[in-house]
Amino acid sequence: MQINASTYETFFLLYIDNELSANERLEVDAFIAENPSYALLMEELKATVIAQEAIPYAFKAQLKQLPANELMEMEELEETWNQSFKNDIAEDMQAIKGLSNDFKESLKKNKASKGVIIRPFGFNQNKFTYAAVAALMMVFFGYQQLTKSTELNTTIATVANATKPKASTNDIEITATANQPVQSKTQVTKTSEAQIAIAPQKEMIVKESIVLNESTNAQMQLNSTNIVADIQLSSDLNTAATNTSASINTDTEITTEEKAAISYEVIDTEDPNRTIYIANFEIDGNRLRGLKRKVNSLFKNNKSDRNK
Amino acid sequence: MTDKAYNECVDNFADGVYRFIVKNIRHTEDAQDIVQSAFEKLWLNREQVIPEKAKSYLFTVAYHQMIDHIRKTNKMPLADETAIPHQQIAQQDSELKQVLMRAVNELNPTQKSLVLLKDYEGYSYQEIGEIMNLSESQVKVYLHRARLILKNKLSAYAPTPIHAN
Repeated sequence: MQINASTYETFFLLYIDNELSANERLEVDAFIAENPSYALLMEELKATVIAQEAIPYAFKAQLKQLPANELMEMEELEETWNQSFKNDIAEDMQAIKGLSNDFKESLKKNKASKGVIIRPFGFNQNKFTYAAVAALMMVFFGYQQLTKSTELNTTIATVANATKPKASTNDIEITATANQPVQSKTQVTKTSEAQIAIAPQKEMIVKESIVLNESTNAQMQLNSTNIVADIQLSSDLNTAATNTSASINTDTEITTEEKAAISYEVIDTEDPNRTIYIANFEIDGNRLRGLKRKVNSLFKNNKSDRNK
Repeated sequence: MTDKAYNECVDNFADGVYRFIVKNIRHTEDAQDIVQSAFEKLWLNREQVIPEKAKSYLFTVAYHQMIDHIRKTNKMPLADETAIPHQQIAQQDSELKQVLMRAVNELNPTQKSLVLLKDYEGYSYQEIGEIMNLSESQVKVYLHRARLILKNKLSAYAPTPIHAN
């Protein structure tokens, strides 16, 4: 490409950018010498070239990498230090003989409990836990109560049945006066002297048996508050049977066992040290009471929330 | 590239890379960070970089990091917001140089980088194209446009032509 009036600007730009060969540069110089009017343009373009300027970067040392020998020295130093550290640790481990047996024993759990100890407040304190524990306890208590009631009813039935057949089938002489028919449980009396002959008094014995049956059935329908009275009655009946001259020794033995079974344990509910056993579980009385309060407050809260 | 060659690169090219970046973004701390990142990348890839191409590699990495930085900050600093102390500039540069630098700072980033790479580092069009991912003809066209813009601005500031050098 030749430099002329239409291409001079490109040549000038290439000239100031040092993109021309030596010969091309000479051609440009010659063109300007021949056409001085273009010299001004060349000067203006040269003025756009930024002069060299030193702006040193101050952190060269940080960019440099350590020489290999220095790196080796550092690695050796690190290795030496690690070895020394390991030795120190080993010495320390030997110096520490371990914890004493007494201290270890003190860390162990109590062996006194018979089974798993439920600690309700050791659990996560949320309402669902309380509700679940409360429901579990209610099931246990309900089951216990149901079992007790069934046992009592069974006892009463046993006593009644034991009295009735002995009197009727084994021809036992019952001490009931013919002129005094038994009208209620409390009217059942015993009379040891009146030994009635079996043959002539059969009808009376049958009557007496019927009365006893009726009274026994009435007993079965009593509520729990009358259970003690029923037991007393059965005890009276047994005593009456004992006092007869007939041989009812077997009945007497059964009654004694039942008596023992019926006995109740007096529980002091205010005793803070009370321990409650449910099946195989041992529950701290204090904590159980606290749990009850929590459950109550939970239901109260729910109730108040619903009301709101 | 050996460790020794890398350290030579630090000695030879750190100033140039820093000058190129700080002239572009005019923020010394950010420029230092970019230079550090560029050399860190060179160190990590020293096995693949030929020592003769290390300078070009450094400028390429620094340029792209600078572009990322400009995109993140989403703006180029204004001409008067230079982080280089004014006193230092006043001591070093003449009035014409200040005018020229003000005009350079008003160029778009590509044109500015082209001018800086050409004038400060003396790269050829081809080398600049490699650094900036442009073809040689693109470099030529863009750079010539930038020169003409600067010429016009300098003419407006200084009616009588004065050579900067």
